[in-house]
Formats: sequence, C-alpha cells, structure tokens
Amino acid sequence: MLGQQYWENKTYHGYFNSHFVMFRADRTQKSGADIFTKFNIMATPTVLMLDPDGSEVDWHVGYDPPAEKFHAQIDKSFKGIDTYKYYAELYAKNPKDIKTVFSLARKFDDRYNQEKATALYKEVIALDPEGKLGTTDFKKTKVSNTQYAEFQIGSLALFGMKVDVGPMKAFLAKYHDGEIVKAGYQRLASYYSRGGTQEESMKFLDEAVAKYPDDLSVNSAYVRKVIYTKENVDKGIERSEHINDLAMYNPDPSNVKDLADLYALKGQLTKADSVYGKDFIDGRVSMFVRSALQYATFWSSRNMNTESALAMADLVVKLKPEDDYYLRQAAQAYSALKNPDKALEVYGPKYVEKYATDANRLMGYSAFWAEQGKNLDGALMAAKKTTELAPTNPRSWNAVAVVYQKLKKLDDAIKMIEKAIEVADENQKSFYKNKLEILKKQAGVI
Amino acid sequence: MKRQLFGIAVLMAVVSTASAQNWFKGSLDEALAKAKTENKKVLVDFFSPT
Repeated sequence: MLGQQYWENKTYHGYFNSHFVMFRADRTQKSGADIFTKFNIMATPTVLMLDPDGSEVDWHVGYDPPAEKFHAQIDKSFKGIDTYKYYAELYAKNPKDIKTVFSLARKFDDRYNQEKATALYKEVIALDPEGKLGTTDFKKTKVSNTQYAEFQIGSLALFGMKVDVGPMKAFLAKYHDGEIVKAGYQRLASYYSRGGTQEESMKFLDEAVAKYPDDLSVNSAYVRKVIYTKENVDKGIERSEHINDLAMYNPDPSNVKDLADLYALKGQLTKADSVYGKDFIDGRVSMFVRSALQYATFWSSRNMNTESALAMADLVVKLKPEDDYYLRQAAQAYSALKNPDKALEVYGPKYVEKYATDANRLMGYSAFWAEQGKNLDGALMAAKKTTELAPTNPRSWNAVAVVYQKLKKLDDAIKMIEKAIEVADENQKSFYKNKLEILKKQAGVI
Repeated sequence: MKRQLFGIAVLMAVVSTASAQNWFKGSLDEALAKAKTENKKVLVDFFSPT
C-alpha cells in the first residue's frame, strides 16, 4: 500500500529527487536483508532517513493512508522537527527532561526496540512517579506520560522470545479504569489465548470477561483459549455465542468459525451447521457482492481505480449471473468505465434471448436502457416483445411508450399509452390518463 | 497503522509492488556517498514483497 500510494505517486517524485537519494532494501535479497540486520529493522514497511554520514535522522514504521498524511510526516522529519536525532541530541545535553526522554522512548517503541524503549520508559517513571508532568493521547483520551510508560513496558514485555506478564499485571493492579486499562486487559488476554499455564491463563481470562463482558477482543481471546486447550468448552460456547450476538448483523467470520469449532468439540455438528453452514457462506458471499458492486459503482464514476472497479464488476456478474439488479448495476458500471461492449455482453441481446418469454424481466431491461439513454433499439425491441407476451398488462404498453419518449417519438408514445389505458383496470386508468395528458402537451397536441 | 512484524504477525501484511520511483542502483554506502556529494539525505524503504 505504501508503494502504490506513496512511492509510486508521481506527485511526490520531484520532492524525493530534490531532497533524497532514494534507496530500497528488499528483505528477500541478501544485500537488502543485510541492511535490515544492520539497522535492526523489525517490521515492514519501515522508512529510515539517514544523514550522509550514515547516522539515523528519523524513522516511520507502518503506513496509514492517506499518502498526504504520510508525506507530511516524512517532510517533518526532513525539516528536523520532532525527529529521533533531535531528541537524541537534547537527551545528550539534558537526560532529565521528561518530554525529551518520553519522546525518545516512543521513537524506540515505534521501532520495536524493546530494550531501549523499556529503559527510557523506566527513566520517565523515575522522573515523574506521580504522573504529574505531562500527558499524551491514548485512543481519544488523555493519560499521563508515566501511565503510558507503565502500559508500554507491560505491552513490550508481552512480545519477543522471553515473555514477561509481570509488568502488565502490575499495571492492571495499579490502574482500574479508562481505555488504556481496557487495552491492557486486551493485550494480556491476547497473550493468554495461547500462552501461560491453564490455571493462570483461565484465571485472568475469567477476570477479563467479567470486567469487560461485551468486549470482542477479550471474549475472542477467551474463546481461542478454549479451542486451543479443549477445556471449559461450555463456557467457551457461552462467550462465543455472546460475541456473535453482539455483532448480530455482521459477525466476524472468524468468530463464527470459532463457535462452530466449539460446537464440533461438543459433537454438535447440527448446531455448527446452523451457524456456519451453507446459509452462513451464502450470506457472506451476498455481502461481498454488495461491497464489490458498491466499489465498482463508486469508482467507475470517478475515473480512479478503474482497473479494480472493472475487476469487481466482473466478479459481481460472475457471482450473480441471474440477478437482474446486479446485472443492471454492473452494466451501468461498465458503461461508466467506457466499456459499452461489456455492458451489452452482460445485459444486452444475450439477456433478451435468454429471457425471451419473461415479460417482467424484459420490462426491467427496456426501462433500464431507456433511463440510460443507450441501447435504445434493443430497449424498444424488448419492450415491444412484452406487449406480445403480456398484452393485457398496461405496463407492457407503457414500457414501449417510455422508450419512444426517449427516442422523441412522442406520437408513437401517445399511441402506446392509449393502448395502456384500454387494457388498464379502473384503478390504473387515472395514472395513464395523466401520463397521456403530459405527453400530449409535450407533443403540442393540446 | 498497517505494519508487519517479523515472527509475530500483529497486523495485516503490507505488500509493496514494483514502483515507478527511481531507486538507487548501487550499495547503501554508495548511496550515502552520492547523498554527501549532492547535499541530500538518504531515504531507505525497508520492504518485503511477501
């Protein structure tokens, strides 16, 4: 995503070439892997800015769209604002300035440098044990730098080869409320979903789901633990059913699969089928098709992402070949993507031939193309066919009239509406009479 | 924030594809030497295609 949205974005190429020598380290090549090792790079993407003497200026780990936001970060680093180098120099001069120490800790934290980040966070705590000398943002809340440092020491200790749950447990024993505490429970629960002894982990997971009964993350961790250990299956089913209830209209497929796993562990395959059977997968496919169609429709009219929009329209047609609504929408997307041949391929003569005896489908077909103002000959032919198939249905004659109206053949449209009035029942007649009057006015007859 | 941590998959993998950007062809040392000559910095993209 960083490559497509930022590196390949020509908007920034002039900027890159003016200020930088651009170097790429590919982890799959030996020469690149050596550079990963040299700089102890733990995650991709990482962007590292170096001075010509090879010293590190700043780094950015991960990528969050949009590209403009990422570019602003790169430019800030280029200008020397809030960089690693800036804080490292300040720290060398004054290692007791809490803002400097905290900022430097976060730099190393971002880069997964557990050892240096933890050491600096400990300095933050030592400098401000009461947490009174500064705050930072955490999930739209404010927390003291000290509390954040304690939380991150706990989080960092949960990763790596040598996991230590002690710091996070100490954090959760000291603090009891707020988003950061919930995050602490989530992270430790995630660790215990796989790690720890059965007794220790279940004790904590029970505590976590009791404290946050509606939190998806801690409940999912509980369920994963049960699936992993195959113990406490009934409690696991209870939690799993609960989290799927919480997301009733759009459950996470992984959570549904977990519930099926638990039912299977109990030998209840019928129940597994009821939540994770054909209905489940049909529903997921339908949701996907809707999303694909929305994507194709959105981008087809904006002349961006046209290749993927076309691919999504193709998928819609493939997955819903019998559904008129999807065929029409796909045809509309193809037209917007300047691919009228493809529009007619999915919703054109072949469609008319296939449904040559289905008046309702042919009415929809003619109405669609009349509205689009395209394929009007095909629309007229289909509409006329409906009058043969359903001559006593006024909508058939109206369908022909609509196309004639689009072709500006108002006299012919009027004749068709007169036919519609002939066959319409009393309730319908007024509608067509009104329409006739409008057409006659347009034609200058009255 | 999308990033891929080696060994421990914490978030979705990020794939960086072939780029129109002109990446420096030589070694990192050569890139640093060029940066010194041109009074620029070196911007290193650490990426993994998988």
